[in-house]
Amino acid sequence: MQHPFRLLALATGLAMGISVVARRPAGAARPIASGRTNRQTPRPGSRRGVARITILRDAGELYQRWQWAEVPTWLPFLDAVTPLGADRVCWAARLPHGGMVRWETDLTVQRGGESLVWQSLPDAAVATHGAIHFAPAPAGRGTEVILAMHFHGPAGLLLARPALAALCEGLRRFKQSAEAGEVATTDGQSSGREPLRVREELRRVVARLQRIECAAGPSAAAAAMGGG
Amino acid sequence: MRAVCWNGTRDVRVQAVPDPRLLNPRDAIVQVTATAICGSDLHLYNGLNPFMRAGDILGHEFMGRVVETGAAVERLQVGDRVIVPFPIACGACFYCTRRLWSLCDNSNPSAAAMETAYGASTAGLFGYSHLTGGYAGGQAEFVRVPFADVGPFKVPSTLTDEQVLLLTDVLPTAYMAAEHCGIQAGDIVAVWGCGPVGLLTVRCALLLGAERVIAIDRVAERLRLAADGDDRVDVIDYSRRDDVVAALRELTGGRGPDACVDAVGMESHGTGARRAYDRVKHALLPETDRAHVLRQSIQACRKGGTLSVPGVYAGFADQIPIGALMEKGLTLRSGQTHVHRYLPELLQHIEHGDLAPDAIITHRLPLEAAPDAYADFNAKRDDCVKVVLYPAGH
Repeated sequence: MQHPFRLLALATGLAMGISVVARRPAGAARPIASGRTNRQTPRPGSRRGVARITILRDAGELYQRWQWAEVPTWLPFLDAVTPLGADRVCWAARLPHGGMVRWETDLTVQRGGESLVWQSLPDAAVATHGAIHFAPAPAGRGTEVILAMHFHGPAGLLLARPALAALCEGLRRFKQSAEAGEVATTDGQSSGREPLRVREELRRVVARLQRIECAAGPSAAAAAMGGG
Repeated sequence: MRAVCWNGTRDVRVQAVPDPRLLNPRDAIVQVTATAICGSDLHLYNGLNPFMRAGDILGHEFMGRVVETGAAVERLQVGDRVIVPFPIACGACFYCTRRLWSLCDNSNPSAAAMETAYGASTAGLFGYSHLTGGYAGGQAEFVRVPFADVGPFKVPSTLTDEQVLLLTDVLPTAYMAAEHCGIQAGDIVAVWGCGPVGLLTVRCALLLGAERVIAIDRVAERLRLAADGDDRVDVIDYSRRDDVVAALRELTGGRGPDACVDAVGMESHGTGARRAYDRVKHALLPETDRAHVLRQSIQACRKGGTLSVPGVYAGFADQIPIGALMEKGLTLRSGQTHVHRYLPELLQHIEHGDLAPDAIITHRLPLEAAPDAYADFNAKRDDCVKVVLYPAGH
């Protein structure tokens, strides 16, 4: 890193640290959901995250677009989300240290064009509740979308870290797919990095050959290469 | 394919890299016929951007022919000859629909990092670090162009590559800088920096009705190009006359310029004690950008005047005379260029002969010459003002 930008990088790092801390339960967060998620102070041993974004589409369209089966494309910490009838959803996710966990939630609120609220079943492997809200933004600005998730209990807390870290980016992906029809990416694009590594490897092999040749003559070098 | 890759401070190489491929349905692949080195590429070349990674393909000023289109591309066809704006815009978000293309909400895959650094993310840019998306650039034989129905702009076969290439960045940047001046009858515009953007800003300000333009630089050849025999242009060589503010007062009847354009940005050289101050603070970390020109323009501008800042700033600067900015009631306008907005209008100006951006091109080279071209442009050697590289020969 070049010195003129170290401060910017430092500030960036500090700010990122602050944003992570800010995701912890603070008790000061405003209520974001109705029903069972309307809890101003998260109970001890729980984690909550809230992401907000404004999307230039109307609320009804976005509500329709929030298809459960597509949720893992926006929130990649989830392996699959499957609707089970009209009022229940099955979720599956890989835990940070391996292993898969599945849990079911009831859809406790389904207010068309406005909100969806879910709550895990009492005996679910992951204790969690969450909500997504769609509210009209001021004129010409589309819809304000709020996504909130709370996790409790041992499995919930294990999952909370990847889940809550993915919320903002997940909502951004949802916005990109709604507005632009695709999610911006550079994964798989060209760069000079791969050929560089190959060239460095070749350079190392050539240097090794030259060292061997210096020490023992060309036949030894050939034998060394033949032996890998 | 061959591409110009950044490998570290003042280390660019022409390397063999994989050909680009379509990654999204709205992508196209363009075979590059001409690509330019921009003054802002020199910020990357000089290692001032920590978000570069070794192996990144450089270049955000390029044009060529469409060779492949994604399934969702409707407006472009294989064979179309296009220029490609340097900001990548989705065409559908709040900002794109308000023609603020460089502020696109949806084209920067590194949006989270940029939000942390700047409070909000702006558009992805070609070949301009991983803060603006990490997109591979166009100093290459081929390039992937996202949102291909929005950015690429078809150009008529009657115009040569050189006549239209600079529409991808520096000409619209200069035009927006002049437009930001809000030029009224009788206005005198001062332009700091006679690199490609500054030189073209002089022409655009005159085109938009400036009474006179004052160009400021220290390179004699660049000042000569700025004046270009036009008696509406005065020049100040700050290496001979370091009290630029006083010189500007003399040239404006004591008022100061009506509008000031900072076409230099974060790497201004400056003179005197402030130069030493910036160098020390730069070295000791608390300052990332040297804002000498910005300070000088605030001081010089007439009361109620306008500052237009097309020069690139990236981090923090201090000793900004914020008191003068407030008390004199100045207006400051800036931003990455909304290139898409200006293309039809500027293409007409080129066709009518009002603007000739190719006049600033001084070097025409094959892609392989990129490392030397970067070094010469950076050192301002060989009267180098604008370099165009031809990946398929010239």
